[in-house]
Amino acid sequence: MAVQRITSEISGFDKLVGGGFPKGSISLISGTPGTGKSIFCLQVAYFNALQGKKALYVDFEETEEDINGQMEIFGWDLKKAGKNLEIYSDHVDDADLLLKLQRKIKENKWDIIVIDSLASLLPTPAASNKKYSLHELLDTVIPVPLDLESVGRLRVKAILSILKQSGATCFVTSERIEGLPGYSRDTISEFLCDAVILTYYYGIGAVDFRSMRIIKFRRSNHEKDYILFNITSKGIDLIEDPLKNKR
Amino acid sequence: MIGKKMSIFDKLAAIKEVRFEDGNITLSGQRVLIIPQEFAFAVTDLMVKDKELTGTIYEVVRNKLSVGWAEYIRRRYKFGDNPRNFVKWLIEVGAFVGWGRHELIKFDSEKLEGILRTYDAPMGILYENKLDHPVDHIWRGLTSGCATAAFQEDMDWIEIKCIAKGDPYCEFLFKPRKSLTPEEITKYKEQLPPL
Repeated sequence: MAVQRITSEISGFDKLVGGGFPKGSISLISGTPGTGKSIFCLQVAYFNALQGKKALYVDFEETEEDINGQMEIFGWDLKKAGKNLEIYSDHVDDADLLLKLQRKIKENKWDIIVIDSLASLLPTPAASNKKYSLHELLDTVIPVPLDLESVGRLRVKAILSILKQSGATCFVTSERIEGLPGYSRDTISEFLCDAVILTYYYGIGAVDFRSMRIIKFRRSNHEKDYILFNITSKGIDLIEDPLKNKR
Repeated sequence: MIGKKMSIFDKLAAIKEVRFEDGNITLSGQRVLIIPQEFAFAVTDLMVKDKELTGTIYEVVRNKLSVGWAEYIRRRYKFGDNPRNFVKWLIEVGAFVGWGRHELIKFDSEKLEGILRTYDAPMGILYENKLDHPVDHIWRGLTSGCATAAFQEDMDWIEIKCIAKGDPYCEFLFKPRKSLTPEEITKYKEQLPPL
């Protein structure tokens, strides 16, 4: 049976992944800051919403106003998407975050859900006094006391499980720190997600270069090479490689 | 690449500024060749045996090879307003392509003068402690050409310390050609192009 897919609405991208993102899959978009992870996800959500799909964009770092401002830069009008695109922002410090998120996801039959970002859910030493809900703590009641990292991983695992159960095609971002192991900050989501896309940035002189690389993409024959792209006034724009298959 | 900092090679590969394709390698959009270091050894050996060739070969590498390449790079990456960053980047690339590890010891941005130290220079290592004069003339030609493009000023690089003559590392004094003192011109006559 043919795999049903959600198109990325990023020109040229879908043909690199067998036609789009398999319905119900979870894709991890991970990269260092400024590499275009959030724009990628927002672009997928917005243009799918314009096509009539129902999209939920969850952001733990920015307010709805910030996101709207970001969209305006690219000429994406949130009003045009109407009720098809809902932006939900919440504080990571909220002890009931998981329950609230679960409720929000169950509120609707979403086609697309974006979580931006998983990394912001991970406890940091500075946030070691953070309160966890009973719901989360019960999940960690095992004989050995868990360190913050493990609690964070359990949190990520729980969120990915909620996403999987939703049946929506999901995108999660993670901010990667160069030099640290793993494709994501939590080092677990790359194993749990169906697809992993890494994004890169390197500036030389006054020229910015961005690329992405598809590390895995279940149920699809995908491009293995680096894919160059620009962030233009209209969003992510893949650069046609003039040398590809020419020699 | 995951779990360690990206090297300049990793970064260039990720943005396809270095490419390995069938029968063709490009670095920053220009075709390059990987050749055994023996090629550079053979040219250096010519200069060791006939010191009078040194200035000429230095000048050919500088003018015919390096200046044009570096000028292209300067334009490609729009380094125009930032020569210091350009030089730093070129030094990084110099290490990436195998000419040793480099450290900018001194730099006067007003006078465009400075000292670059190179550890593990391939030509110097070949003649380690065997000579009474420096041998890194191809590297000097490359760097002086790059600096000429970076500063838009005729630059010269003079090797003042060399592993070949027993120093622990190689060191280069660089400055605009027009700023070389008569004493320096006399002292380093063999390294400079024939008048």
